[in-house]
Amino acid sequence: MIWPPSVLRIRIVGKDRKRIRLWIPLFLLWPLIVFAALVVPFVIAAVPRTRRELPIKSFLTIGPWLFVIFCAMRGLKVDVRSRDEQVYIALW
Amino acid sequence: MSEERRRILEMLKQGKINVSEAEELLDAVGELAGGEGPAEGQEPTAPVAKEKPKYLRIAVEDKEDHVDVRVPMQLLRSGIKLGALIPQSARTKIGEALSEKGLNIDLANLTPEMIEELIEGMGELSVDVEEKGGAKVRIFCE
Repeated sequence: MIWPPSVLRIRIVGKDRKRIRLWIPLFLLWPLIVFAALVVPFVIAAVPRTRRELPIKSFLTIGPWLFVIFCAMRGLKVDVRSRDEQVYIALW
Repeated sequence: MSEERRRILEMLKQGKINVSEAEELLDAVGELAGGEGPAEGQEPTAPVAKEKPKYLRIAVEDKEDHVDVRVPMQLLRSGIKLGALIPQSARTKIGEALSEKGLNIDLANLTPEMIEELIEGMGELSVDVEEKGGAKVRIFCE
């Protein structure tokens, strides 16, 4: 069983040396994310074009799949640095 | 030391064969032994289980720029499986575009076993590119 990521860390340093440092405890948002995963299929089903294109089985599985992808993001790290700027995003 | 190798060395010692012939025989025995089980007196060793790669790392380094991306393999697995949710019309167009580039991949028919095989194969992946200007690109799995 893979748990969803607990923490999202974001660090952005701009050219003008402005820094944004965020440490977001995702574990507090887990209930909201689960709720969104349950609601998203109905939102997508409300769009007529997607109703035509996707089979009904897909609507039922989109929500769980989005949650599975969210869980799979645990360990994702993106670190881009140049001389003056930096963007760092990590999910644990 | 296997029995065959011992016999070959005995024959060499007794002068029944010369050094070149002994070398050829040892090579032949070595090739045969490569396809067989353990030699006499040796316990069979269990095959070393290759650890599955957990992350795909992409690292680009320049004089001023530095990029480091680490993607969990689980994300790749889930992303590939999500391909089955793509509508048929879009899947057909994607398949045609990939075929034009020489890639005959049907995203909907990728089984979990194929995906695991692909990811296990990626464990051996290692790309190292170094430019004259000093820029380095590394792609590997860990």
